[in-house]
Amino acid sequence: MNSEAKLQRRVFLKALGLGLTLPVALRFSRMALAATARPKRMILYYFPHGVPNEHMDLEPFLMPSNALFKNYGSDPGGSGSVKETHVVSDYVLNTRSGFNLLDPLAPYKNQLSIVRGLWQPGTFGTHDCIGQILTGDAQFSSLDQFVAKEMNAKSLFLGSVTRVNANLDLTNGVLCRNEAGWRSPENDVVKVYDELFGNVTANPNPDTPTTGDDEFRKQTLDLTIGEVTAMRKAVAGLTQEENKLSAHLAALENIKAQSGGLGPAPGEQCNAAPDIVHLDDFRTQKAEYMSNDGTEYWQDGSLSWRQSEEDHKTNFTKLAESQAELAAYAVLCGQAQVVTIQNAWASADYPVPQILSHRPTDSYHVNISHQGYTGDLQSAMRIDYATVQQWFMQRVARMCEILNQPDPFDPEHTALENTVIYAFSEIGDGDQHTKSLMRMWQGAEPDHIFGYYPAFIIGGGGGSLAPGRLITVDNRPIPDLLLTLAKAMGSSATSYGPLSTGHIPELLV
Amino acid sequence: MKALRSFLLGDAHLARNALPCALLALLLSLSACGPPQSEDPDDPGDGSGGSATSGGDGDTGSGGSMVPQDPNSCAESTPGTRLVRRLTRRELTNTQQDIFGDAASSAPTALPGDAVDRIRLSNDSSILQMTQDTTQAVLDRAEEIATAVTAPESLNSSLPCASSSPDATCASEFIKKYGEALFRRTLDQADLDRYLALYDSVSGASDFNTGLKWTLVGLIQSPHAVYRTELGQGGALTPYEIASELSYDYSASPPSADLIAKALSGELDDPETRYEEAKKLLATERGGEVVHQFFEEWLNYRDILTVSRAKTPDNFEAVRPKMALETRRFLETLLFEKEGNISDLLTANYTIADQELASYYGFSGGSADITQDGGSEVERTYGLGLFAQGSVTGTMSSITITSPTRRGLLLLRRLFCEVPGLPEAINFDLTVSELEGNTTRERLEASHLSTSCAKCHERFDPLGFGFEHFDHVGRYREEEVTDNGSFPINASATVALLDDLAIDGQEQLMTGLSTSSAVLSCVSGTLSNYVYGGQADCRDKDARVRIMSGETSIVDYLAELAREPHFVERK
Repeated sequence: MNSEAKLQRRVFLKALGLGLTLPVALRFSRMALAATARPKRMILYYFPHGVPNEHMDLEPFLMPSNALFKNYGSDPGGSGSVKETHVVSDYVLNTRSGFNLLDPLAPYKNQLSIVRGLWQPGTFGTHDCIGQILTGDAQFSSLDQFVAKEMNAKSLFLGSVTRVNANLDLTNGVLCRNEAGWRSPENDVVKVYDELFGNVTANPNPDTPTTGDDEFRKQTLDLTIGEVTAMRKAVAGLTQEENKLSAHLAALENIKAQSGGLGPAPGEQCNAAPDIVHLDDFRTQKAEYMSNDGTEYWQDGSLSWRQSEEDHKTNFTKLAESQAELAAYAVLCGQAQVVTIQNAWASADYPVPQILSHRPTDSYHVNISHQGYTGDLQSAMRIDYATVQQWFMQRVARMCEILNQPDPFDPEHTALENTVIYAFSEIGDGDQHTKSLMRMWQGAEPDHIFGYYPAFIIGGGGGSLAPGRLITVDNRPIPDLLLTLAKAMGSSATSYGPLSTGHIPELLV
Repeated sequence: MKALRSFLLGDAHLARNALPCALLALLLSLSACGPPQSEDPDDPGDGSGGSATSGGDGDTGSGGSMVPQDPNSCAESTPGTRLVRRLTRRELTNTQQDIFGDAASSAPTALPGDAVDRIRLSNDSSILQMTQDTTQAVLDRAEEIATAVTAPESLNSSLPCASSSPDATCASEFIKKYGEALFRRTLDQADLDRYLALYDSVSGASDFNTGLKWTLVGLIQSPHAVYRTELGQGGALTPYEIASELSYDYSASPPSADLIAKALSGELDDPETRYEEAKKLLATERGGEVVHQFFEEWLNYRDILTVSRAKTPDNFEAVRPKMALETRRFLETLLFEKEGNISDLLTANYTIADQELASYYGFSGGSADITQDGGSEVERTYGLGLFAQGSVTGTMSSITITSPTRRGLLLLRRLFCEVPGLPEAINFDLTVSELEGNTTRERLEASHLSTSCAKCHERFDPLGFGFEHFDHVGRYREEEVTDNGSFPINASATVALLDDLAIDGQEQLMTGLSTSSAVLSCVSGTLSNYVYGGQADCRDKDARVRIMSGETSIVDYLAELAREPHFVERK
């Protein structure tokens, strides 16, 4: 059997193993041959409240006695800083404290790169950095929207966020935006699951839009685009009104470009709907709680204390677990190329008894993350904080587990090797709200640490990333990382908003 | 260290109490103060709201002022600028409900919430946009509604020609019927031609019903449906615009045929007629909901349903929903039954409660279960007005202790229209071990008012001290019970914002606030901005002068805004 036939057969068998039908599996196998470029996907994974750096910092440790980094962190963005980049290709996942919040990612260490020393150059001060962390300046498009537009790809935005009287919190809750403004994440896992996998049965859903509907939708969108354009012309000179209508136009154009919504494209169907953890529970809860006028978000209620519930705020952890699996399967099955998960909002204050059972009522933000580093590497309070943040890394590990299998579209590689997962937070140290590489001198010198942003990049990016590296920069602007990840996804952009200075080549092949 | 940790973890945890003054740089540049603390996201009225809030545009977090212009400084009422106002979510939903009935109410897609401005109020036309999510949701709902409306059995009953002569003439009839309802005006020939062209194209590739379905999708998501214009012609709003403005401003609903007819006949050119129509609309159920929505956003009092609280009475969980109902009923009574004014809002000495709720507060009386439409007027033995409501004092607290800072900030934002911002840098030199005091107030005074933090905190912490007799779950107390013992409450303060008025307790504070011209101007201006859909100066001089002098009730004031020239003119 020649190599092409072997490849085709291998793809065919793997596709069958995923539950795909014979015709679809055959199609995939032919596509694998026809493909000249590896597929690329991106998952952006936000977790709030930063990190206790002593529980993630690896060798060579960032500490003042380490000559390598003696002058690092002294002058973010200024001329006095060192601006050197240090790379370790074969780092060890150990910390000075002995507790490592990255431990769940140990099985994927060869796919895990860590960037230390990023800097948020914008004017936002604390948790409101959430609006800058993927945009650079809260004005530019966020990385997921930028990449999705460049790839003409379908994007999926999942979240576990509350709202202010059912309105999006524009201070602490916004993460993603495009030319049409801030995006609102979808809390409802049942809705997303049904959209992605509702057709995935032997008998396709008769309500699935047909090819004709897609064309009719585009025609209708064209009509609306024309009307909005005319209205914008009619208000020429009223700048604010023109801008509103421009944003509306951008929204319509984006929707038209991604017409058809999420879910399998015609002719490409994953015929085995995956089991997503807790989905059945959510489906039952949704039927009980949801009101159709949209004034009650049943999953918002699940993030809050509810009367008479013994296990308050359970659903946050369940939501996060469900959404991680949903994201990974959506990517694996080719139903979304860019996925963003926004776990909570900045300054989210609900208890996490499911993670810290010995502190059932302590709030995540105020009581747990706001624990200052006092020089004690074994501080129980800081370890508690690290434990909660490690829990999110367990979700990332679960995504890696799902993706760590032959890519149906490129079975020579795993889906993880063809994906970029970027896990991040809006601040560095949760107590100090650091937004740069910053020295935190507390206690005796051996116990001194640096505070810095968590930036974990997992996956191969379809061959563009050089994974498995510990990269230390001296206050490179975060937009540089965003630019680099965009490049990994195939973008030819040379800048990312007004604050980037260039790529971080050490992350790339 | 142990005491420090206990302090941090326990009742005296300041993180939810004392925002670092560096977070509250009110027009000043402060370097640092206070131990590392945090803005509280559960408090929609706190300093964290001073940063980026504009829909789509990131502010720098510098805070600032939202103080409306004093109407007495205006020579006369003058019209504002021309606007294209996106319908709010409530307006869109009501419109679709009125036109499509069951087809709309059964559409599964919910519209996203509206953006809120820097003081967390929606209905601001400058930030209410058709974002991608809203546009997608409108499209999704449009398809759902259109599918239901054009299903053969529905269509044949609502459009007789669909079964007898399904052709372009019938399609025109369909387009006119729904187009005029959705656009809230007659369609011109260009509109008709545009939609007939879409119908022709789609039906030609499918069938009559499908052609109508996608035509209806276009009508529902059209900018002529999702926006209401206040553009006018030659400086005067058109009759259709005035009819829509009245109906949406005062009932979040599309204009009735009767109201459109009055507009077309010129009756609505008369300010008194507009005032009367506005009053009628406010008296409807939907009109009431418009008013309630304002107060829900203004105070976020419904957060009492979900905030985290510990060390509470056994029946607190049962009482929470009653508190939310109590506030709603109180507002209904004060605004609509008693026709209260701003002073009444701040100093009313009654509330609405059932027996359990009254007993919870320590009041006498109360009727049957308020959750079952019960509840009656109950005299307060402590606390005055809206800000004494359990839903407000209980929300503006920490998990186990009160928060004078949060309460003070609430008053600063809502009654003085000042919006503290976030600093650019935070210095955590000051450690918690330097804090002294037995009570929450004493610790705040030690950390906020005896350091450089005072520059900001002396502006609003005293407002919060006046509330110290209200515990963290809305009940009265004479003492603060701590791990170190019980200590008498000190609710006295000197309020700089009231010309250094000395007060002792919430009652004296609210009485002083109710006569403050700054407060009257802020509240009346905020209401005006809410009705008119954004900030601007001097649109409302006549109406605001009257409400500030106590001549009109709040509901009357809202209706009087329809009398102003701005309602029918634009510059």
